[in-house]
Amino acid sequence: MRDDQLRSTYEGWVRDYAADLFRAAARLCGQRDVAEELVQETFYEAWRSVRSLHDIARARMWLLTILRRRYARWVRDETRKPRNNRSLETDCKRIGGTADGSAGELLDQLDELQAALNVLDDRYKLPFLLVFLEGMTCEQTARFLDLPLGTVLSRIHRARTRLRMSLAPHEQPAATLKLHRSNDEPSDGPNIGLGGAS
Amino acid sequence: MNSASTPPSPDDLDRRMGEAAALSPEHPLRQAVVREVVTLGADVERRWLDLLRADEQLRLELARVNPPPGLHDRLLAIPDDVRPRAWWRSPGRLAIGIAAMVLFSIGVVLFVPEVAPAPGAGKNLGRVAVLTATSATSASPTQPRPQAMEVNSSDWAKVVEALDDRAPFRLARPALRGDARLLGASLATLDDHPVLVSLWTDGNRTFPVYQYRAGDFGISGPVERTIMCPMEAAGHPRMRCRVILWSDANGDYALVLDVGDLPDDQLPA
Repeated sequence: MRDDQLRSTYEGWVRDYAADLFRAAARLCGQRDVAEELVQETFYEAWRSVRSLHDIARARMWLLTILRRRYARWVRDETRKPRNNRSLETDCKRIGGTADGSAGELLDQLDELQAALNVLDDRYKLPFLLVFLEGMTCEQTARFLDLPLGTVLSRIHRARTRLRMSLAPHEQPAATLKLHRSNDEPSDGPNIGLGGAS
Repeated sequence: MNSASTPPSPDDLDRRMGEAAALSPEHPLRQAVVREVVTLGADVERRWLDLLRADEQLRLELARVNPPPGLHDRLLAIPDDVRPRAWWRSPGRLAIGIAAMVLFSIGVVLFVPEVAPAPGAGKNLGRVAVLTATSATSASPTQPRPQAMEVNSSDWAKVVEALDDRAPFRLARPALRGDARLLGASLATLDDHPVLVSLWTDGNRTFPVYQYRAGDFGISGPVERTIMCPMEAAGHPRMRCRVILWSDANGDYALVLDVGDLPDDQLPA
């Protein structure tokens, strides 16, 4: 492709995928400023390597793969630093939050969700966010993470269960669900490789 | 799934409902759970519906993140500052190139002092033989494999269609003997020079053919058909291979065979 065609393709990716990637990055790392950096690094790498993408139809998956790698690197670097407790929605408030009057309550509620995501092991968080936030099917997620479908399903179920346990005081409709820890696996820390079965 | 004859335990049912709810509505596993749910009474149906509603609520709440103002503009400005890498300079290809260079260096150290090039072939032809052989043997990370090919097709026209605009030379189908069938092809580098690797099978063996430009490797003029055994000579008895080098009107080629004891009339080139 000529340079102007490459640029046009790249601009299409920014238009179509930047917001989605930012949401995914923000929910993964829990910090808006870090998410912004991850997305910028992702698009920088995508532009630098744009000639190596042979199937334009796979651009979204390719961008998600780059983002996942950048996130894994950030997690690795972050484990060497003191824990940063500033959450995504705390940052939202710091920069002014949303415009409507219910922002305070909404942010408080969202803060709980992000806090719950922040302590969720990446083995569970990644497949959960790919399905619930990115809209991928479980089969696509299994291929993306190179996991069996059954493993993806059980990890999503565990992610959901743990999130609801964390959010239980706020959650009325799902109260009829039995929420318990008896089947939970012991957390063994971030596992960005996601290579093994659950 | 549980058999219909034994009622599922609440924990097991919750787990299966939780897993099924993540699947798309048309997925057979989810449909099976739905069919099971309707047989288990109103309470279980309500739990299923609560689960679906709670999932939708989670989706909504997860999506409530707005990109920061100006992010789009900053992303759109990236091409102003940097240029895309040339296709052969991407990190993956660079790593493959470095690995090939290391293997080549080892091969040269082992091969050059011990093997005299075939008559008339010259030192540079030996270099092509070592490069292609080290790249093609199973010990090499760059070994051509069907699943690693950019184009997986037995149709040469598709190879040309997909790769011709990125290749710095005209891609030409190598003239092979017998019933060799194309498996796929990919652009690659050998010692930083662009080559086309095509993978072929004759039913018994799979072998790569490298199309290269003789001038890139300091070889002047067309190459007469020459057979070299670089790995065997380099002291790697388990990597015995033969490299057949030749030129025709369309290009310069190197074919690497893993086994070196075939009679000449049975060679594919």
